[in-house]
Amino acid sequence: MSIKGIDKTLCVNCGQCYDICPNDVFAIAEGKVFVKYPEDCQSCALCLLVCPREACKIDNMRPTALPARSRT
Amino acid sequence: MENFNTYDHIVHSEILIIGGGIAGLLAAVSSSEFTQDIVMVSKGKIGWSGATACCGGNAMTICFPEDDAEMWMQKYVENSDYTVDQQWVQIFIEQSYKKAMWLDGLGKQYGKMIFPHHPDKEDEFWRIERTGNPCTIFNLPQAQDTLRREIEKRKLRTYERISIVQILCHDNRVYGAIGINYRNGETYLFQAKAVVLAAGACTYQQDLFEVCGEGFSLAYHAGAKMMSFDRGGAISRPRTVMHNGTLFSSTANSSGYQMGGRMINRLGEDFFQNMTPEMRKAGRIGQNMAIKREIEEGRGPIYEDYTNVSDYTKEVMKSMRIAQWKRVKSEYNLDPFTELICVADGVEQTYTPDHSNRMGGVAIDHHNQASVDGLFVVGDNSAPVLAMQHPFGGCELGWAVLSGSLVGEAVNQYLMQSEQEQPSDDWYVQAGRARLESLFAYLQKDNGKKPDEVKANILKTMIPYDVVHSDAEHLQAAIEKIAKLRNEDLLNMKAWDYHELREAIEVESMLDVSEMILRSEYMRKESRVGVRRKDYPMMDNVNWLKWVVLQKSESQMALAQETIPTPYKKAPQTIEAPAQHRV
Repeated sequence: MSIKGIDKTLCVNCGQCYDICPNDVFAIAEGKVFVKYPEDCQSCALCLLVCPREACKIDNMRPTALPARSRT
Repeated sequence: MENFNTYDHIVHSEILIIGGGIAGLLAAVSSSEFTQDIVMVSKGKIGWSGATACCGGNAMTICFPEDDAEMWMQKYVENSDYTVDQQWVQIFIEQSYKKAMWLDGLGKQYGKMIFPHHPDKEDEFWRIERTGNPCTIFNLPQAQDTLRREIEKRKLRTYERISIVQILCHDNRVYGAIGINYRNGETYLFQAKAVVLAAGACTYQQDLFEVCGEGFSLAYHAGAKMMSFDRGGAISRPRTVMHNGTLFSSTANSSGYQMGGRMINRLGEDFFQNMTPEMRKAGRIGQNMAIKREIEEGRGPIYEDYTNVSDYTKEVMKSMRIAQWKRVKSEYNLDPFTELICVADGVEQTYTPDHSNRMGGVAIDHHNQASVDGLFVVGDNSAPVLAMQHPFGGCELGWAVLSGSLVGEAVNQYLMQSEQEQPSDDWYVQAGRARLESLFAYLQKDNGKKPDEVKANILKTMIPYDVVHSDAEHLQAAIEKIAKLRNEDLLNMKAWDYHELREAIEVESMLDVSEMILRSEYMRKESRVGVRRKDYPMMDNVNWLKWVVLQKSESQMALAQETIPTPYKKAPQTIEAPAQHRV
């Protein structure tokens, strides 16, 4: 999965990730930021760029593989 | 929502710009040289979303004063198999340097180096060779930062997190657009005298999830002529890894490679040097063959190597790839400038329709105006009037910067010459009602397929793309599958919240774009620039020096052909195999 989560020991709930994410992956409830739609993460790492504590953990993988190549 | 009768927000402006990537930012700033009455609206965060978020190239085509103009005309014309608009190439030759310097000057006001100087020559721009055409290194984050500051300084109004769902027209003239904020469901009416579409292309969920062809769909349903969706062709993408490379695209001729990065095998060899001529000609697909060969012959794993670049180059690279730099440190816990990055996986490839400006778009004249009065189009959203094909590089960014920089004056000329009577409030409600009610209906269903599921079915139809577009039989089958998805999956689709409503809009757009691509390719009975028909393998300059165009006609997609004008460089009157830039 592209975004692995938010390290809540680091996160200060500033909402910068929510503000910048192109794909609306994050949400805020009762003042706390969380990952609501991880399947829409494209690993652009903009959340990590703006996070003051580097609390967003992302990797290089797609959330789902693209269909395979096969000749029929 | 039933019986829609009022918008939650009504915004007036002279100019509405839809899309906040580099082309949209430049359209806003170039337009603001003439008026401040401008509104920018973006689906994401202005200056950060769309292709801009994940831009892999960071180099662009510019014709410098000392360049051989004939060389540029030849490159664009021949490397597009004669499908480029030659008059636009001439405009590029005459204007691209001036516009690039204008942008460079804007950046210098803020201490930004949008065009880094050459590492060895401080008074020269850094120019590289990208598979046979010169490119100039371009620092996209610095350009974005500059333009965001200019927009703020010039007090242009901005709206974010809004999916634009319809361009409002009457008698073939634009009067604005409507949108939905996908975080709170509020509806927006943007009344405007001119609209600039800068909403990008359609990426088929490769790299850029946000860019789903809405800009194409909006223009198509507004009645604009669309062009060249048979172009683009198949591009290789890894099935499981997001980027083929971590800091830069790991292509043999990418900006990163030309700036001093390397792809090496276990033995420390730069194996791209051993690529065969066929591999080199096949661009990204060819280099993936090279990577696969290294691994299969026991010389894996493969590494990205940035350890030998100069200190100056390190600083330039870091500032060009600011988000990716942080991700590498976080994901791999290493410093890419002192340690190798193992990228052994991601070799399994598939083929998606090529995206960005190469793939087709809204037909425009030489002032960026579409066939609908008052509708202007820039960047990836427009037809590939100035695009080569993979692996020739830098032309998409080159077009985004040129078109965005030029459009301000064109829009101003249009506004000075056009008289527009403002429609009534009631007209605006009537014009948007059907569209909004049909979209909100996705939320009101009790059950249904999620938009992600329908998207996956679209992807299964369009990918692997080299099968889909190989011959009439496969193309026809794919056209029928898309029609079935439209008549069944779409009707049974449910959005469970506003986020999924945004995705439902994306599904509708992807269906439109898929149909445009398939029908356009089906019409072209030959092979040219990305169309590789097994049943018509030759490039036929006698009968097929034509653009395939399409337009909405009584709810159907009507296709036609237009002869490509060749005022500067005539095509040989031959029927022969195409140059096969693309495998």
